[in-house]
Amino acid sequence: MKGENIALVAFGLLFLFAIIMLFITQSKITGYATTATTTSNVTISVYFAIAMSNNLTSGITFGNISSLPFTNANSSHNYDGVNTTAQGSNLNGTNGTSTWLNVSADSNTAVDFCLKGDAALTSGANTIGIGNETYANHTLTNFSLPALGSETAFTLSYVKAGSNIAAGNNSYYRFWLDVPAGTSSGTYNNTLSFEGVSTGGGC
Amino acid sequence: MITKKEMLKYFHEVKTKKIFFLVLFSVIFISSASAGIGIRSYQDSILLNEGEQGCVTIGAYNPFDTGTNVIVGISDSLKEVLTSQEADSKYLPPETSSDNAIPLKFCFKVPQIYQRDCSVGSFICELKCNEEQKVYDGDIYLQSIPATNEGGGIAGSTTKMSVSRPLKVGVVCTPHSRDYTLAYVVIAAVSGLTIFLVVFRRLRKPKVERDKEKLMKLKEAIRKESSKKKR
Repeated sequence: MKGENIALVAFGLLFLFAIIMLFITQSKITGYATTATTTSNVTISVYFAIAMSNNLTSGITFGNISSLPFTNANSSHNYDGVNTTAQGSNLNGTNGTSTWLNVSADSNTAVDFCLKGDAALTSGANTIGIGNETYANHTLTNFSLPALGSETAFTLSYVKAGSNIAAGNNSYYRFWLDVPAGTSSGTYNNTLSFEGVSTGGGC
Repeated sequence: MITKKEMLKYFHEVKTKKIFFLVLFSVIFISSASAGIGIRSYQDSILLNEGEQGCVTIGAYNPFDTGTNVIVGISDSLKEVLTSQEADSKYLPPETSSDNAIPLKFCFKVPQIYQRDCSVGSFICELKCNEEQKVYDGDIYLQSIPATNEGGGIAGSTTKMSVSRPLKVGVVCTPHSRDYTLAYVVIAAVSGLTIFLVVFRRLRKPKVERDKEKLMKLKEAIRKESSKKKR
């Protein structure tokens, strides 16, 4: 009985010690200090807006391809847009591209555009490699621009395609698809992403 | 004098020009810009403590003539370090100017990233902050909800559009000595429980038994006293 009482007192002291230490660690006492502060701030904002042409918004299609291999199948809107620049005697041609990205006039910075494919063109278990889908871009469009000769293959990460596009201006795009021999029949689809960043920024 | 033939030729030319401009206008209209996205950023960096929740607000606007739905997100490089992301999705009405940009909030929490020296598992730790302050670079973006491909049974690609601004997240390292709070809590709990059990065990005995114990103690005391007197 006597031993039990000693244990009771010991545990009581331990309990008290733990509570006091908890109280001390939780309430750290600092010295008195007097300071006077004033704040100064400025907010610098950067803004820009972009839009896709209607024909780019509705997707890029390459039609029905029946003979393989097929090289540089044209996107259906590669040559149905209004020319922005004269070509020979053809001043008012309508064989430019109708797929473009616009930088709104309500922007305070020029814009760089970045392009990527999210995956290979896929039909069930079959694919057409992302590198078979290509594009070319230019700040003007007519029958020759953007040119097939400057085509670039899509990749799975963003790549700059159209730099320093000023507010109110467009970047024009044409798209092509190479379908290798032996490609199984089917409907092949994927998603292409277009990103706008302020000029000089990373994709 | 203008002859009838010349008159007809003139009207034919005017009609041809009208048709030409009508076709041209239609082509321009059909391929005109549709819904767009605008981003207005007010801050490109944020400084947070470990375990702290932070929010970044960006402005979204659409100066074009069609409304659109957008979502806000961050690039993969920031997803690695930021947890519990809460993002807004929003409808951007047409013809919203940058001055009337709609604020969209993106909130996230920074986990513990600095190496701690701990005594027991991940408890009773101290943080010395010998490492350099960690800064994570990435982007915050607004993305359109992708449109569906118009082609059925034709190879093609759907398209989606986004606008992004860089975002730096700096994580402040606040050094602290070994934290014994948990040890004190455990000691208090164990000793408190022990005291409670002992007292409870005592009080649990019936009154008759407790009285008997008291009586025994008294008898013992009397016996000791009487033996002292005899001496």
